[in-house]
Amino acid sequence: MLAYYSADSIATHSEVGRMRLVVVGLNHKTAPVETREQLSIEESQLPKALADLRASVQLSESVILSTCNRTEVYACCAFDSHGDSIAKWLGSYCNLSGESYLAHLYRLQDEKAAHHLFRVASGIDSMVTGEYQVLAQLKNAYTIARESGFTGSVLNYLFHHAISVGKRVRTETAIGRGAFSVGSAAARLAESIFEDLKGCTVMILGAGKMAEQTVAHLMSTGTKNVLVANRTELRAAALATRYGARAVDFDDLEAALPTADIVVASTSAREPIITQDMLKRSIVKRRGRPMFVIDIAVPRNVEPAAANIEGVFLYNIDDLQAVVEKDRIARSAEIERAECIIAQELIRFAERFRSLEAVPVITAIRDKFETIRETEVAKLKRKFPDLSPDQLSGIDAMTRSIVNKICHDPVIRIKEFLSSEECPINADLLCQLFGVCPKDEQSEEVDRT
Amino acid sequence: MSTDAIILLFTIGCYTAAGALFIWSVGGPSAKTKSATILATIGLAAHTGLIVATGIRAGHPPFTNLRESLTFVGWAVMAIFLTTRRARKPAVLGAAASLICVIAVGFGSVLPKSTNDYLLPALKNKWSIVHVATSLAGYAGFVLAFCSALLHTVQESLLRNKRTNRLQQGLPSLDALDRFSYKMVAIGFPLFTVGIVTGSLWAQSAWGSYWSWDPKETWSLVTWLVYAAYLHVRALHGRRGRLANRLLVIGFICTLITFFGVNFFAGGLHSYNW
Repeated sequence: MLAYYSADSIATHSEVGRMRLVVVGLNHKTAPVETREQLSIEESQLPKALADLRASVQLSESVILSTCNRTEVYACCAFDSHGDSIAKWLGSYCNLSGESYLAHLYRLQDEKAAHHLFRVASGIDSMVTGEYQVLAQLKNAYTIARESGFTGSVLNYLFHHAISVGKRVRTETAIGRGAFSVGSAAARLAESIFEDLKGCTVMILGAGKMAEQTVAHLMSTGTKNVLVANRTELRAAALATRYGARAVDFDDLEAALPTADIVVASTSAREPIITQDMLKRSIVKRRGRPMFVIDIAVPRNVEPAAANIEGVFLYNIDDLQAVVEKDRIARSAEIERAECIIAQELIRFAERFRSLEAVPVITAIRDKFETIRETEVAKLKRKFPDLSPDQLSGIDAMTRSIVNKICHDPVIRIKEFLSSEECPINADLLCQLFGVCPKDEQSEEVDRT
Repeated sequence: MSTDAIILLFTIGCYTAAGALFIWSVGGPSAKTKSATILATIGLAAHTGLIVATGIRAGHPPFTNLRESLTFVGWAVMAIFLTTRRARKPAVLGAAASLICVIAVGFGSVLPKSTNDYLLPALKNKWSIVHVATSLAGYAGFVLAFCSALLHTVQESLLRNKRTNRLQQGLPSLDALDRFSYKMVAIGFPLFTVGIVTGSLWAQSAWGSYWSWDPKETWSLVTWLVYAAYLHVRALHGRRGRLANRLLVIGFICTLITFFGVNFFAGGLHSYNW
């Protein structure tokens, strides 16, 4: 469609043309971690980066989403070539020499860009399918851009829509269900045993990274009572302060065991620390109230035979990893349903997006007609200075009425045309036809969506 | 088709649909559970209307034969389920409650209707109403407790065998199931006790003896003892797990014998209930 313009007209109509939605970026599928690291932009730097981007590429709106798995620039711009400019800007902003990084970038436009963002929001594009974090990161990136004044009606609408798509996909499909890590698998299983984790007591034996992760997950579901047992008292005390927990002497382990609903064992002991008999006595003391024993140590800390005790649910690291894997497969099966929802939402978005495009064109046309009217009325006044106020207001009303009547049908048709799927005309053509140039930004419309 | 038959079909339809929705939502998105609950509530409203209408037409509370008794048990199951759980109901228990209702109401509806005008003289007593209503409501509590105990067993075995499938994820926690069973017995047992006591009062006025060891009375006592044992184990000793669950299963079998078995296979004073 740019073919309609000569080189001149591009220069004179620098803001004319169909609004383009563009995304330029890279993610874990297209780029190795080294490249992603180089091109990532820290959250605190985002407003600065957005300002820099606006200064170097003429963009009306932009949002930068930068997480450990992706860096993406969403923008609303007037020309196709702006996509390349954004790509170049990204390299230079991140001080990358050479152009090799360009091969890792993808560039999507309009509905494809929206489609991509919807998939990102739904967690389909994530490394771990269906994860929730990305939706929060996306919201955050958008909020930063909006608060710094870099978004307008188009990106506001796009991001609001994307966030609601992300939510819808997660409530209507099982893509956000199940365990994403060993820690969350443990927390979910705990919730299958105990109704309310708030009232549960967790005991940690030893402390590896995975054990801490597990405890963190349990605590995020509400567990508050944490007991820490460690061979070296110092370490136990250090851990205890971190979790706001109570330290337990390792020698009193057996005495403390019955008070624990959930036990997370991860010591480096060569022999089992918790024996079948210890757990048997514990369960008796607990009057059959179940215990969830998570043994993520290798070699194992809990005698495997303890799994046979009624009321003891013993899971080792392999069991938990199997849960995670199974959930991952189950989530992948939900992708298709999520894509269906995204496709539906995309149709809704596209309709609205196209009608958003009509607004500045119509405003420009109306403005132009109004200006003509005012000029002509002023001319008339100069020519006939003796007109009475009554007559003047009559002329005013008449001219207004003429303009409105002339505008009426074209305005309605433009709205219809631009929001219909098979658009018989485009905004550029309309602008040329009426000889208008829509204003860049409709800032008063920011909150319309 | 009479109005009664239409309402009956509507009731069964609501319960069936609610049950299907409940099953469908097990382990899946939670939005459907709410619609299922609403459907079940509509079913219960129709069901209530049906029972009240039958009662008014007959001129006495409608629990005079097996048909009406079953209908009432179904009603009580749904009423107890809908009123005792918090807003978001576990789908599996909802499915169980709906299924029981469909079976009870459906089976009841194919049984012969009572001959409205004729009512045994023994059934014309103020105690009789309380006796039958409370006993039946007690059974309703017991059957729900049994369902929950079964689900507890399933959940326990799935967790033990590390089969964390959709069913496992959809089932309520062991804790919740255990507490639900307990709650159901805590509701059913006092009702059942009142049923036995008012029954013996009625027996005194109707037959001149408080207790005559007829088969139904004997089995009621056995049932009562089993649930008393459960409460003893669960409430006084705080014991959970298999023992408590087994008692609930045994208790339910006794309930079935008391409710159906005696009428089918044994004679005795209660055997007019057809």
